[in-house]
Amino acid sequence: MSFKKVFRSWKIWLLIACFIMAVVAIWPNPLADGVAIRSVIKDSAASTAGFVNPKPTTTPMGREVVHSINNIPIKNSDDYARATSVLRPNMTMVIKTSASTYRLVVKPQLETVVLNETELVNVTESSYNSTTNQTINITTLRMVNKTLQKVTGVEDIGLRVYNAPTSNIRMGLDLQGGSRVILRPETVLAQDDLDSLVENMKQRLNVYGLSDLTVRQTKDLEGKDFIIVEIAGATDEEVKDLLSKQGKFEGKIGNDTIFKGGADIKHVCKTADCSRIVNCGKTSSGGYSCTFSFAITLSPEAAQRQADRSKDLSVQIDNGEGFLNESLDLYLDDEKVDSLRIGEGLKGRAETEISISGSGTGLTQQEAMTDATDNMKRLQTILITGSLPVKLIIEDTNNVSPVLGSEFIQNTLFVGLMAMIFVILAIVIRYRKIIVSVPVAITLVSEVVILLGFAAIIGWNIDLIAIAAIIIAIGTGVDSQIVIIDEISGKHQEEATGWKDKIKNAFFIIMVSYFTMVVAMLPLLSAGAGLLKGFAITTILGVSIGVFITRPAFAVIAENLLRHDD
Amino acid sequence: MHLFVKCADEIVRFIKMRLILADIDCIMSEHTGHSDNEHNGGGRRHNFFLELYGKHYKSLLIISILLLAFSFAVIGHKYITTGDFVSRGVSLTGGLSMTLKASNSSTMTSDELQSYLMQVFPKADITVRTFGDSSNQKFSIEASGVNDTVFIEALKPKFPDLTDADFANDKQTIGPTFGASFFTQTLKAIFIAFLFMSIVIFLYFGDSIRDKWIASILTIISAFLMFYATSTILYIIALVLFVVCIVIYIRDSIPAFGIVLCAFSDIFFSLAVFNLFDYKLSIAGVAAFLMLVGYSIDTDILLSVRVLKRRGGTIFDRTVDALRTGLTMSVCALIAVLVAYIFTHSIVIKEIMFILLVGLIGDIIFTWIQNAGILRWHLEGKGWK
Repeated sequence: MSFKKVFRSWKIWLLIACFIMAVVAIWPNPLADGVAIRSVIKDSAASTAGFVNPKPTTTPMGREVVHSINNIPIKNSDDYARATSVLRPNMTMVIKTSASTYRLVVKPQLETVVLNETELVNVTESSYNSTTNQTINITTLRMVNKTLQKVTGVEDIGLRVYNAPTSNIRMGLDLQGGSRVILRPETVLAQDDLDSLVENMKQRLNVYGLSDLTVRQTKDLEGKDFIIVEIAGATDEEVKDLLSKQGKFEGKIGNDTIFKGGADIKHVCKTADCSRIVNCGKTSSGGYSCTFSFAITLSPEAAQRQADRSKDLSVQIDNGEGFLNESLDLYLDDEKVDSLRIGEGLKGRAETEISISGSGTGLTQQEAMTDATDNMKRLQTILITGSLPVKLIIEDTNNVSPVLGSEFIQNTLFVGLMAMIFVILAIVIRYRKIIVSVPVAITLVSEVVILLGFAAIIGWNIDLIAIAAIIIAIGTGVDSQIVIIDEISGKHQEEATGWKDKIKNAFFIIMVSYFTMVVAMLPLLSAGAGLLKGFAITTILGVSIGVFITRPAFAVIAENLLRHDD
Repeated sequence: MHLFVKCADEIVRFIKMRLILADIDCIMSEHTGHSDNEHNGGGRRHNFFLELYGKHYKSLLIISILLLAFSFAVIGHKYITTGDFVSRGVSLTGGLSMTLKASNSSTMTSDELQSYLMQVFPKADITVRTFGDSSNQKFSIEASGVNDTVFIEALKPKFPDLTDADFANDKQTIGPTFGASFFTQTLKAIFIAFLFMSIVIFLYFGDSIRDKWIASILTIISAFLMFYATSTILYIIALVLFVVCIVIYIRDSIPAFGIVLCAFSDIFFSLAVFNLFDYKLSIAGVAAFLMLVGYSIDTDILLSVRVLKRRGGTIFDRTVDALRTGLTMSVCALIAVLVAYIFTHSIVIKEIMFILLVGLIGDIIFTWIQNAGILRWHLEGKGWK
């Protein structure tokens, strides 16, 4: 075996170069521990402390990783869960990450209880004067109900985490856990509208607090448009709730629309001082119900519309207070969800501060509070981002838990390894020469590594079906090598063909197989909303790497290895 | 089932032959005077199988054609009795699919769970399978025509160990129109893949340039029609065009036709066995059938190239020579697939590997008996030896 000859061939160097590039791209670190930050919830204790959402383009190994909390080392998500379960309101946490150190103050969870007593309080209201085009603040003395703020626990510190990644290979949802939802617009949209729909959806999901997500458009063979939303670490329920409703929010007096969610709303309060759970109580059916309320600021134009509409209304006295005879009705997706009585002081006056309330229910008070908080968040999101231009129909949802995902990964690694070992064993038994197994093993391993390297570079997600494709590539990648070995060491004394011819023969066979495989995979790239696209691309990439990079190199090695046999 | 046993018999016989033929080295080296033989005994046994393969290739060819006909019969039977030529899982019909861990204390079987669920939901279509080893047993449940939440509630008493989150662990819901349209699209994809694969083979092995042009144009038209077709007329035209191509292949290049027929047989054989085991096809399964198209070609191309382009020895010698290489290839692929099938915990991968396993075993027969037989018959007819 002449090593010098082997290393003089450019094909070998190409293989080595690709292999090294792949390893660098993958950047494996099996000893990595800690928990990586997936997203930071807005207006939470974490975001106040300075944590920022990771950019979606960051590589998995480039993510910020939490290593210790209050000097207790955090190795995995169990440690993190334990460390964040013993929180007290207003306590300080020192969180050390791979990027820097943060001091976080835990926020208490508050419940406002409305008491029956009243008190005199200075209330500042801003009012828009349409004639002078100015917003003035008027402070008046008002009788309001006394409220008591009760501390009912701690607010979630606002970090979504997952076990730190050990390599740059992005894994599909069935391996890392998460959900995928495929939606179809109810009416056919033009491309521009589709683009803005996707933007709107991304915004809605981001505002809600989910950021490790991809939203992409795809078409199937029948020309139907689909939108695929993939979120790691979230459940499909959250996504369905957010996206299945258009989120058309309108405030109307009678039949006239005063304001709509989105453009007409300048600000939605999400901080604790003006958005919170107001109170909880038992319902008649035995469960609990909690009400929430948050303040929104209308745009001056919307406030003016309200003033114009209300100035001609008459006043009715009810319980000593004056109200206008028509209310401000709030509609969500054409269903009335609330009705606000307009105080007589607002007649003809442009009022920009409006308070929106709603409720949540549950079997226990805790459940009701969680439900109310979720409903509040959703409503806030809809008001901020406005309505989706069209109704979306949910076609397919897929949910895999992270625990299950990591089980799959381990099992798959095991299976891949076993497949490789047994195949190499078969080669050794067949050719009864251990030395033959060396180049075969090198080639097999390089093919898989280079393929994964490619996947890491282009940010491609590896899912279960793609892994099936890789395992089969192991079995059949060997096929071409067998063809090469047999051609080279073939016992055909009658033919005075040179080495070049033999290898040409072998490659003829390989190339025909290659083209038929590529061509067989092409239709899958757009069939069925692109669900098998990952599989098709992995297969095409895999065989291409084999044909153009690893097998030529293998031929060189085999040639030098087996030549002296003749 | 009687016929099925007969096929299993065939398969076992040929695997035995492969093991014996591994000692073909011996015989071949005796022919060509090479010095690599470590096996000298058992000459008589070798010769018997070799004789069978060499002298009676026509009868063996008939047997492989019968196998193909049997596959058609199984699939046809399925179509007549159920209106569909394969059972479809929920990912292709719409519905709910989930995987749940078996409760440690219960010894419930998949049949018991299935009958319980069918009692609660008499109108729904429900399938339950178990997989995994005894310490980590899982149930894979597919149901169409049920309401998600009601279904999960019905499952809860049978899985007392699981929390609510566990029920959402590995869950998939597919809208019915989506699932059905996906199925038609993958059928189209398989057809188009077949079209393209055949034309590539023909371009390599065909003789007449004129025929190659005609076939290519017909293929492209047929692919376009199939891709964009919405009415039945267009489908039929696409199919007719494909048949015309096949006729061209037969007239111009029997070797090319032999290869296409082999790929065709592999898929149908695998589909028939799939039906015999009463499995339900999923999206992953469709991917597996497409993989089969590509991988089965390897061995056929090897056979054809060796037989057509080599000059030494008889056709039979060259066939057997190709057989050595080809069987090694098939066995290696089979090993990879078998290992994956046995050790994987994922039902998706298991389904893919099953289809490939059956397809690859079928490929051994259809390449080395059917394709080789066709080649030899055709070449001897042309006067080759």
